[in-house]
Parts: sequence; C-alpha cells; structure tokens
Amino acid sequence: MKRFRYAVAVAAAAVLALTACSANNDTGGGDSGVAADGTATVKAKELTVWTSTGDQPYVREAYKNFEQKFGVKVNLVEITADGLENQVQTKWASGDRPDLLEYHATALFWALNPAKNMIEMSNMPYVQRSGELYKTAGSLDGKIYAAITVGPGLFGMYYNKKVLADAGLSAPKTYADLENICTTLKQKAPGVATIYEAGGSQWPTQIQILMNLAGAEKSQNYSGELLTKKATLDDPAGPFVAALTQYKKLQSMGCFNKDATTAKSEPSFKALADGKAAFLPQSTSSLPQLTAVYGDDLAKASAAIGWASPSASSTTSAWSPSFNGTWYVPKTGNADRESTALAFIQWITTDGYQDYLTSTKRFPALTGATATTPTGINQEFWNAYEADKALAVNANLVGFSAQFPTLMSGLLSGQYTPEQAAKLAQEALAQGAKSAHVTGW
Amino acid sequence: MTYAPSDTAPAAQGRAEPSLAPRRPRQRKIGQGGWWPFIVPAFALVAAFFTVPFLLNLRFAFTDWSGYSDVISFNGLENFRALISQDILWQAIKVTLLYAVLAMIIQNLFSLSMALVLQRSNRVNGFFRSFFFLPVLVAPVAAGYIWGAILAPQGPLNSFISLFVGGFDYAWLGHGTSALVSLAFVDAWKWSGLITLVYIAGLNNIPESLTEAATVDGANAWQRFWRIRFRLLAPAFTFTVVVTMLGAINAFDLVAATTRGGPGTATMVLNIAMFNQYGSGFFGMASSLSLVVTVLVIVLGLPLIAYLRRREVEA
Repeated sequence: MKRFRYAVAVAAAAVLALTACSANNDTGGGDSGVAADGTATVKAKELTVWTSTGDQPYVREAYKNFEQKFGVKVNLVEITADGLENQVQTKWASGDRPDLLEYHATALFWALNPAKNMIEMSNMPYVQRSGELYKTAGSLDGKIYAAITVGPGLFGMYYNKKVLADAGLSAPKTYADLENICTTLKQKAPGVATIYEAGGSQWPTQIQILMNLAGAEKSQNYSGELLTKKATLDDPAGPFVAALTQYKKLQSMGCFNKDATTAKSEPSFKALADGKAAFLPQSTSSLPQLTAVYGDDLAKASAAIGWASPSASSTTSAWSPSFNGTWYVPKTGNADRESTALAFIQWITTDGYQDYLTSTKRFPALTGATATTPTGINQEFWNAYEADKALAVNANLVGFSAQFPTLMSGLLSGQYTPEQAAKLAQEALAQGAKSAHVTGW
Repeated sequence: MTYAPSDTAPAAQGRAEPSLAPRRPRQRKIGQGGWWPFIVPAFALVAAFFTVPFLLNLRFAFTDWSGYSDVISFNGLENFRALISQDILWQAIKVTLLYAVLAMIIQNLFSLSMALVLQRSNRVNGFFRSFFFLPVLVAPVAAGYIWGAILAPQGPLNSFISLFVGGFDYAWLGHGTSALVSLAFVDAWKWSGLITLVYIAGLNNIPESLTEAATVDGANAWQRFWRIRFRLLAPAFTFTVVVTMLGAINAFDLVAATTRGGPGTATMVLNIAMFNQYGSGFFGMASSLSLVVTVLVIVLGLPLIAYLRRREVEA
C-alpha cells in the first residue's frame, strides 16, 4: 500500500503542477522597457516574422533589403492565407510570439490584447507623417500599435471590358446599375455569369455588402452608429438588411455563377479573364493575382480589365487598411529582439521608405516620399480612391467580422433570409463588443 | 486472480514446511492488489492528457475569457446564452448528431458488406483488403481536399453522371442536406477499410460448425447470416459502432478541409464551431462548446456501450 500511496502522491503533485501552469494566463513576454520613439537600434542577429503565404513580393523584398543592410537574419514563419486569422489567434493564445507580426489593422487585432501583448508605437516618428490614419486603424483606446506603411486597399469589382463592350454596356455606378447590367447580359450573353461569387471560399462573399454599404458609411457614419447603439444591423429598414436583400435579389435574378455556393476564389481571376464572368468582387490588393493571369503584364491586364466601385446609391469606394506592410511589435521579453524589430519599423518608414514605396507601386501611407505614377488599372484604383471613399463598414465592428462570412454563406445557400442573417450579425456584434469592453455594451 | 493455493495447501495437507511453496507468495501478492502497477501508466496518461485538461478547462466554460482582455471573470451561463442566440449551439449539436449517426450507419453497412465479401483469405481478397485500406492511410485534410474537388459542380463525379444525365452540375457541397450526407459518405470512404478488417476478424472467430449445422438444418443464406453470424458478431459490432459514432462526434479535419462548416452552418459540427470561436479570440465560448462535446460523448457513449455489451451477452 505504501507504493500505492506514493503513486497517488506523485499523480497529485503532477496534477497540481499542471494546474499551476494552466492557471497562469500570463502568456506574454513582459515589458523589456525598450523605448519606442525612433531611437531603437539593431541589437539582435535574427528576427522572427509571422507572415502570410499570400504576402506581396514587395514585402518579402523589404525583408531581404533589411537583412543585407543590417546583417540581421529574418526568419519567416509563413501562415496559410486561408484561415490566417484563426491560426494567428491560436498560436498567440498558446503564448507563441514573433518579433514582428504582419497583420490586419482592423478590429481583428484587438483580439490579440494589444495593451498587454504589443509595444505601443504612438511616439514613433512615422505617426506624425500618417495624417489621421490611426484614428480609424491600427489603434485601440487612443494608443497606436500598428505601423501601416502602404496605402489602403479598396473593395470593388474588376470587370471584363470586352464582355461589357460587346453587350453595349458601361461600368456601373450604383447597385441599381448593376441590376440593369445583369438583366441585359442575361439576354445578350447568356453564357456569361454577371458576377463571380466564391461562396466556397466564404470570405469574398463579404465584399459586395461592404461595397453596397460604403455610401451609408460615408453619409451617416454607419459603423459608428452601430457601435454606439444608435443603429442596429437587424433594423428591417436599415442599410444592412437592405444590402443583404439586394444581394439576394441579384442571386435570385440569376446574376451569380451557377456554382456560387461552392466556387473557390482561386480560379475566379481566370474566369474573369476568359470572359466567363463579367464582374469579380475583390480587393485591390489582389492585383498581382489578376496580372498573373496575364503573365504579370500590367499593361495587358489593364487593357482587358477595369475597376468599378458601385455602392447602394453612389459611387463610394470602401477602403480598408492594408494587411501587407502593416506590422506590429509583440512584447517578447527579449530586449535585443524588440529593439531590432523597432529598428526595422524605423528603417522601413524612414531611410528605406522611398525604395520600398517604389517597389510597392501603391500609394503611400506616409508623407515624405513620392509614389510611382500609377498606370493602367492602378490609375483607376487611385481615381476611385480620390473621388469618393469611406472606411469599410466592418473594419471596427468587433466580433461581427468573425461571423460575417459564415452568415453570408448561409444567405447564399438559402439557409438564412436577409432578416435572419442580420439578426445573427447583430448578436455577433453584441458578443464582440462586450468582450472588447466597448463603452455602452 | 482468486487462486491462492499457498494460503491453504500446506495447512490442508497437515504439513508445516514453508519451504515447500517458495514462489507462491508472489502470486498471492498480485491476487491481493499487486495489479495496480500495470494500470498506472494508462491511468497517468489518461489523467495527464484527458482528465486534468478537461477539469482545468471546465471552469473556463463559465467565464468570459477572451483574447481581448487578460481579465477572466465568471459569467455563469452567459456563454451558452450567447451561443444559443447566435444560432450556434443547437445547430452544431444537431449537425454533429446527424453527421455521427449518418457516418456510423453508412460506415457499418458498407464495412460489413465488404467483410462478408472479403472474409476468406486468398490472394484476390488480400489485394482488395489492402486496396480498401489505403484511404485509412490518407490524411483527413488531404481526403477533404480531394473529395472537395471530386464533388465540385464541374468535378469528376458530375462529369460521370453527365454521361447518363446531360449537363448534370449539382453542387453536392453547396446545399445543406447533400453537403452533410456527402461528408458522411466521405468519412465512410476514409475509415471503412479499418472497420472492414474488424468485421473480418469477427467473422473469422465464428466457428464454422455452427453455420454448417444450420445448413444441415435447412437454413438459407440469409437465415445463416441474420440468425447466427450477425448475432455472434456482437463484440465486433460493439467496437465498430462505438468507434465510428464517437469518432464522428469528434469530427473536425475532414469537415474543415471540405466545407469549413458551410454552406452557412449546414455542416458546422461542434468542433468546427469551437475552432471558429477559439480562432476569433472567444476562448470562453470555445471552452463551453468543448464541454458540450465531452458531455455529448459521455451521454451518448456510456448508454450505447452498456446496451451493446448487454446485447453481446444475450447473443
């Protein structure tokens, strides 16, 4: 019996040890006291960066340039673009931290508890050259955690110029125009899907709603009203239900591809280029995927494909801060590495910024550098952004973004009516807002 | 281990020479409780990797633990209320149970049929046993992607059907019911090779004299199967039904790779719902769903095993 008692005691000790480990919710690296004011220097020999497999080539080039200039080895941890947010959250929750994190500047990063886990960069010099960007992106409770280095991406629709021209049509300015185009195309080009919807990938189904709501965001600060409870997503007379209803109407009119519920995003660019679809809802960040279909020839792609930004009743573009080239510096507890990560931010936003911006071929997020004169479809992006824009409605709707793609997939498949989907969306927003301790929730 | 002759044998024989039973005390020790060292490794592993994590996780199911804050507060049943109001909890339970029952039925029907065909050991059957076992070796995620492509509207399955029904382009994974049934079939495809082997072993354990006697008594093939072989397969049946059903309740990777729980939430099994919550930073909600999975396994598993074991005895 002595041995039995001994075994029980050992087991109990093991349980207590495990309990002690698990009860400790402090998974961050702690504060090493490195100053985030532009004075940090390169002290470590290597940096670990979490990045997406769908990352843009110019970001990879920036890492290589940093390696060459400072002799720091950059270890890339590539996380699959499909479900990236879930994977980052999972790794993060287990206490794993990179030295640099490339991530969204929307409310999605709030779920990483930045106040505890990230170095605040409000006093970094680049902030002064960013205008009012951080009032709506990369910040929480007035503190800035992100370094956003390139201009925002827009949500809109690529369109096949030849398909529209052959049917005697021009680009839509509103969703009403889009309905009319669909009706005409179904008569004149019955083999062409007016809009390619990728329900199998889920996330692209959000884009049309964000586009549709851009006008409401601009005219009435819709997301602000939602966060302050002046409006609700499930208001039957509200913009959200109207956008979902219009989306469903387009589907019932036969304006989407036949396999809209299961189609994946990857083949959509070729379908557009081949004229099998007239419109493709996308983000401007996907341009490299589009040009890849044309052998990476921007001029050729621009000759065939145009860009439209129809909203409910206006031509307002929905913009979202870029994922690519947006970095955070997590607290790792390693002062040398934190200092080196901050030095990278300092370099990419100052000495290295002009070369970096040139390689991006995008408009700048910071003053003090000259953007490459946009050409082709890039010029169309620029024009759309300059003409009329509003922050994408979902950017700061905490909790909502997590459920939005699923709800859209349910709407598309007929599982939910617009009203049901809107009700569930409001519940998701309430859950997120409570978790994030948003005032009034 | 009730046999302890060393206690009684010498006395019964009226002799008092202890040296006559030199090794018996060791046997007595095992018989009186010396078994526990053998169970300790299994107990420790289950405790360390199941019981303790489960107990530790239990409390989080009733807290507001999230990635948004490092303060964890008790919030009673609020997580369950939120999961119900968002149409997640009941929907995920319903989908999980439907999927588990479908997968269990399809797998067992298919595997038992295969076992009856491939029962005899010969070269041809050996080849087909190996052939049908191959999907077991395929990673569930890979199987999900493969079947996602096969079941696509323009995929090979519809191309084949189009040979008979022109222009057939049904989206198998694009409609709630067909998506769930398709997934259950894919799960059956994945695991049937293993279950078939269990049934073959069970069939081979049935004495041939019984079926021969039944044949002599005039029983036809169906009667021999239903009255004799099926009933004596009870132990194998217990194993396969429990494993396939409880395995399906814990489904994740195959569903994640094929439909991600869609369209909408039509194939959102509990583990997918849990992953979505966890991946969105709502750890307390994910813990609540994790608790539901465990409760579901216990509530369904224990009575099911008890019933099937009783059936074994009756058989």
